[in-house]
Amino acid sequence: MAKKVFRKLIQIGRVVFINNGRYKGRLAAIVDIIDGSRGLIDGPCTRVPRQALRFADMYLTNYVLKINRGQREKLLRQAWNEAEITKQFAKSRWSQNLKKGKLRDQMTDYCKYKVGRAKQSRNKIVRNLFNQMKKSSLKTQRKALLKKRLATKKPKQKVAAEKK
Amino acid sequence: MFGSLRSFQGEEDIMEQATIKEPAKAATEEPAKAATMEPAKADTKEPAKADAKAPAKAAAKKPAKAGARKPSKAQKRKHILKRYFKKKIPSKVVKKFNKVAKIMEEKKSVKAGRIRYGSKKLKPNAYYVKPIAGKTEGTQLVPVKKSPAYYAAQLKEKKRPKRVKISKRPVRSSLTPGTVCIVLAGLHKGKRVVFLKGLPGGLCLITGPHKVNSCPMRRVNQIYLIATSLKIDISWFGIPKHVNDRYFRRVKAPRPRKKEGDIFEKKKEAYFPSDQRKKDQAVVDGNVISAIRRRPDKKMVFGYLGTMFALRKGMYPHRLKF
Repeated sequence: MAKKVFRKLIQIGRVVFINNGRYKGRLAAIVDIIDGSRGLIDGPCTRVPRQALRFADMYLTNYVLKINRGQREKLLRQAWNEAEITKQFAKSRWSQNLKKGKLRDQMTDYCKYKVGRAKQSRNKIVRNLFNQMKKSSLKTQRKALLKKRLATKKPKQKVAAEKK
Repeated sequence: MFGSLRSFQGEEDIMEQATIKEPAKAATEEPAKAATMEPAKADTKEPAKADAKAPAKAAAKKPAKAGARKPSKAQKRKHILKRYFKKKIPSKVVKKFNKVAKIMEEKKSVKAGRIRYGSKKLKPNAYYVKPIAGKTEGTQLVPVKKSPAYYAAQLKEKKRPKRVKISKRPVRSSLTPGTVCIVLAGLHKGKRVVFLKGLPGGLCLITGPHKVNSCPMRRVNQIYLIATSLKIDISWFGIPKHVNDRYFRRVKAPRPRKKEGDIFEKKKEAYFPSDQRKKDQAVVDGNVISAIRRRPDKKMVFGYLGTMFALRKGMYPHRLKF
């Protein structure tokens, strides 16, 4: 079988992240596909009313709900809760990055300076530790090399002496 | 005046009567016509009956309607009083009003209480009744408020208050004493400095402090300052009073006389702070620095003031929060 090129597909039940418009930043599920560029979405648990949305205005997530085409809100909600989509998404790296971005936007100039300084000091510690480890490992390597050389040299000298 | 009004009302009455009479006439004529059109079966009694009924109805209706429309005179007076005085009516006013109203009713003017005199609307208590002087009979209406004896030919001009020069121009609300600002223009652009106060001329007094980022006490236009959210409490010390707009004025070099050598040879003298300025700088900076030292994050604040602000990759000034 051929290798899968697309991991996420636009399909009925696919949970999407709305990236544009009034409901930007919320999750919803694709309930129906209207045409090549639009789909019917619904997010009863995220307070997104059923509506047509362009596929360009949404990102696809990894989650797919087991629902039928044009599934009613009640069963959709049930499926959503069973799959624990909101919980799963909150745990994901994606949502954590979003939160981080929001935090970064709120940071003031002085805050940014403090973060920069903290980063500096952290990097300093890491660098120092790394250098120490590097040094010590080099030392051991050098010692080992020396030992090897000595071990290989001695017999040579002996041989030479014997020859003489 | 009242006479003319009365005559006018009389005319109205006549008109009313005429309108009432008309339907009665019509009633009498119509059945008669009907009788002429259908002479075969129509009884002679029917038109006669209709004749008798129609005027009777009209007659019955008219007084009944008039009774409903026209309450008694006393009721009317009460109603008018209520309209003018929404609260409790003093008994004096009621008495006076009733007197006036009665006279008006007798004279058959327009509705009592609403005397039209030219374009003015007169309230009932604007007049009081008085016997006519020199006569045993009759009364007269006298206005309560006397009309003035003198009318000015020209209106007095109103005195306008003198224009007061604004002594202090306002500074943005985000710029309060002790706010750390970013300077956007001039020699010290990019530096983070401490805002000391707004000067009356509209410029802002700032300091580096000089020891921290070598920005001395200076005046800056507020449009070249961005206020950050960091604020240092400098309220506990005062800035010397002589540090004002005049203090920072440039000293003009005396013009060289014509005879004295070549004009172009003279070099521009470099600016050098006076001893007084150095002294003031030291005093203010000492205070600001000790204010920063009081903070638990003093090390960070000193570092913050010591570093320059710059836009890096992905930093959009309109999106930044200072």
